[in-house]
Amino acid sequence: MAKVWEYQGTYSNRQTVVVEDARPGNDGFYIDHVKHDKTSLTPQFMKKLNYQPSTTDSSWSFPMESGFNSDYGMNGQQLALSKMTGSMSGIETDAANTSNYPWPGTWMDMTGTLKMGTMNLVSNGTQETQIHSYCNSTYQYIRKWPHMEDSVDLYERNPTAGGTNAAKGSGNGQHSAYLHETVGNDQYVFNWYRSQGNTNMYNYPSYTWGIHYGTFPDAQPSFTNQTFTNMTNEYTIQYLGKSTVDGGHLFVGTRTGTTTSGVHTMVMKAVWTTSYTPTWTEMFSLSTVPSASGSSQGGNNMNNINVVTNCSEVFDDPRGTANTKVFYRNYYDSYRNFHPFVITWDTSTDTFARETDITCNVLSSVHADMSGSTFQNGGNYRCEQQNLQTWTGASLRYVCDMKLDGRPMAKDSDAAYRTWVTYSVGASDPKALTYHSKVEMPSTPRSLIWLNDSHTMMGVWFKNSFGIYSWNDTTGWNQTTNLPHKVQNIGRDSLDRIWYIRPSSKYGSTRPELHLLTPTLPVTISVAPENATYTYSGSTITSYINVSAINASGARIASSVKLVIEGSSMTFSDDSTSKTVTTLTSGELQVATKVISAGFTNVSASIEI
Amino acid sequence: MTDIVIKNTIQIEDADGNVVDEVINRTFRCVMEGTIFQAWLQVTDDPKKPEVLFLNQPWKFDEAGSRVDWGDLAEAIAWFKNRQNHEEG
Repeated sequence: MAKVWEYQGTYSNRQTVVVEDARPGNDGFYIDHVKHDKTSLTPQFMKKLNYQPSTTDSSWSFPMESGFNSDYGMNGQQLALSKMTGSMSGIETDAANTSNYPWPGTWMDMTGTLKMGTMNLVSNGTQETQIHSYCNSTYQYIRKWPHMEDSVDLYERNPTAGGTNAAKGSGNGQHSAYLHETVGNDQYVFNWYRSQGNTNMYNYPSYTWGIHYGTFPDAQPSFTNQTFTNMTNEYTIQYLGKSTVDGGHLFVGTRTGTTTSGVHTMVMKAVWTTSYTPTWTEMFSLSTVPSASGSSQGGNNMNNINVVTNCSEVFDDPRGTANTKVFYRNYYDSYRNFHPFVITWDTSTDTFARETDITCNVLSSVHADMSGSTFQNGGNYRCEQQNLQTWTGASLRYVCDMKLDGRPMAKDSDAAYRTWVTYSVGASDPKALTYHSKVEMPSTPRSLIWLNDSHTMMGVWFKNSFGIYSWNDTTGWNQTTNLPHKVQNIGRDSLDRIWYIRPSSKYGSTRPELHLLTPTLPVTISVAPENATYTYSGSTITSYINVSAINASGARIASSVKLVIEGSSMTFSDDSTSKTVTTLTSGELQVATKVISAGFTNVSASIEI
Repeated sequence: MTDIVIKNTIQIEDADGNVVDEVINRTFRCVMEGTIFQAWLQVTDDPKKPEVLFLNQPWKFDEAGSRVDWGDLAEAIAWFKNRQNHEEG
């Protein structure tokens, strides 16, 4: 948790602290807008970013409207990184409002292939453009750098694409994911995001998308903001992937509501032809309330509670059915037991079907009985998300209902809601779920973010802390690190380093402070003597101290640790009082010491990054 | 062929910061092309492309989620209005 950068007072309390050049062939990494070498983080002076989009305006411009205390749920402000990057507000009240929406980046992409960063590299195969989308007041803005040779740095070109300051990446978007499409001579970049294009920013939920068009990868100054046809209010929108039938882009809509609306699943396909407006086709729509089958009692979702939910990632049908993929659509039966639907996708025809005869060997209510849970059950500002996720371990697939509520204390007294139950998926049957483990969140889990590509390490936002959890095939999810403070923005760069912004420990909660948290850096160093006390009777006592270094995922790592013995009663075995050692991955490192006189001894440890 | 207007009301913030309603009307030319229902969006800001194929819908869905043929154009238009959250009046 090395502190890398402290607020420098330059841009009030609102600014982008890190901008990564997402091009693999460029080494740019900008901290406080100044270029650093991406790998070594060595600063390079006189190389400073300028967000001024006009080539005729020589003044400097920076993204600096994050709304640090309350609005940074609309992310991309402090960290512009190429891999998954998310943010949550620091609000401490439970009001149902925009500041308490859970960050949606972990479920927007069902393919698992989009990076979901805030600095996006969009390519047509030969040329690319970089897009930084960030919050600016109530709207999300963008800066685009058109195609540049890898030898040209971001600081050398103004981000001319995107037009003027009035250009918006989206309307109030909380997170934008970007894709590119070529049709004939026309090229479109489209993004989709949660929230409305207008200013009230209701979340029923409500997802919107925008299309950037014009010559690619140059300016693309035009932008149109649209709703998802047939899936407007009340649908959680997720990207299912590109059709192999006709190249169209498929989106899944999971509706929230009661009765039939609460189980409604829809798939829409967008095909571009001759206009920036694609042609839509409804590929699947099913809202029939299921009857009892398998171990499910069927009935209305959550016994007819209106609560927002979503689908899992898509994966190959474990039954081996040719050309078929499957995903789970979250669902709780009338006894509020977890029985997610299996949706099959025949990729050779783009036809879909729903299977509801799910069997759980242990009902979820045994471990997380939500029969007494209370919900928002409607409203314009939905903060609950019964988030469904799947991932693979060493040999099996797992599925878990990672239930969220962006309101920081809303579920503190509801242990059932805070308990995430994991099932393993049958090796050849996606409808056979076997109880594996559970993890109870210590307080209301506001949102989560994946911290590695394999989705076996995640971070969870709480009111005043941030927990890091690692997956273990035997024991399940375990908290391996707790950051005992708010984390506003967290994400990964292309080197898989984890960066986060927290309130400044020096300048107060409205100032940013940048930290680095990587798998190769320890978050905990422990130093323990062989004995707590020694009885010195005039003769030297030989002993040792145990030293270990633990990273964010809870693993021992080999790290260079500087040890300093303070006081005159103990030395290392070579009579020195300062020594740099390398910790072990296999267990405690024993460092030989000597007690040479009576008195108190303190051993301090430090590392360098 | 039938021309229809889809009406939707959204809330926007006016110049004084007040949230106000704004009505959006979109005109569609609806046809059955064989068994396929098509809705063509009438474009006003691009004279080169006066209309765009907005929806190409060969089927509707029954209660089991299976694809079945449209009955007629009127049925398809009613479905389209519902899907677009059309506001009467």
